[in-house]
Amino acid sequence: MSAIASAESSSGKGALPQDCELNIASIIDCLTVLITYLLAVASFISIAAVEAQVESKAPTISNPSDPPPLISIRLMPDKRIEVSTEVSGQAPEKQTIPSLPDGGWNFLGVTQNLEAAKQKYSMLKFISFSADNSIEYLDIVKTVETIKSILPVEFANEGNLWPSPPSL
Amino acid sequence: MALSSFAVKRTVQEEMSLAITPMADVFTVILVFLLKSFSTGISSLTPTQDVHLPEARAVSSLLDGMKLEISPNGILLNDAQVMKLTQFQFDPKQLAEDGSLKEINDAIRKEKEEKTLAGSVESRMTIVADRKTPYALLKRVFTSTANYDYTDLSLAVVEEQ
Repeated sequence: MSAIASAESSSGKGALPQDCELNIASIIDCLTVLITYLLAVASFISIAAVEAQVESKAPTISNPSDPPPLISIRLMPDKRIEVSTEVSGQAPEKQTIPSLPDGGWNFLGVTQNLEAAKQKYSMLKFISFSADNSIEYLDIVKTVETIKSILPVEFANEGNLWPSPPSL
Repeated sequence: MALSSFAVKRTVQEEMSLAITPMADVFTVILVFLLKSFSTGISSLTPTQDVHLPEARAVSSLLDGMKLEISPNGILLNDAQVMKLTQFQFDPKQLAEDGSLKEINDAIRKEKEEKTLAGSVESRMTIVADRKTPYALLKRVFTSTANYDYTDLSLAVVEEQ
């Protein structure tokens, strides 16, 4: 009796105990709807981008008498990579990087070649990229991914090369 | 003793109740995971079923721009089909004089006119292409995009872990 009296006096005279029940069923309903919606919009693969550019339709040369050096890379069907260097006042140079012994692309060779060219020609701003018609997009992306770590990549606008429709 | 072996065994009825509290815990964990991966905008773009993106490591995040999707059976601009293909092969009559594709040119021109009227100026194009797309088709598409000054390309890839 005395214990009960002291409890009553400490909590306030005449205070009644309160029971509070959490309505879990409604919470489950809300969670189910939310989860269903998020599952529908969830993306379980991470999509990102590899940045590149394409040569504009009418390329402008700031100083036609002294154009900047141009390095072009072309992927060939037999996994060779041709690197062409054009510098004003010099004869164009062409170098071929052969494929690896296992038949893969020699990206290391391309990287070393471009690093050397970048150090030699400080005015180099981008690498021009093209490929044979049969080269697949996967190989193109892998090459662009490798090259852009050295310099930005610009896809050659082959519409600028021919006055007549190019062959298929 | 003999009678006990023939005695009928009583079946004990068990009441089963659903344990809702642990279920709420599980749902909460799943919800937190899905909220973490939830995002809006172009970074959540989903390629169509027959488009398998290539993989790459050195990538950057996707930026907003017009979306051009190349699948084996067609080309879509902003999710609307603009050109039909047959295993990446197109009709030679679709070639314009500069090597671009006429239907792609028309579609990009219309979209650009609408965006210009809306006051939006952009030069970025997101390319979502199947990994087996040949360069013969890609270079035509790039020529078409360059014709309308879409020279900044974002090549959509699956990020390699």
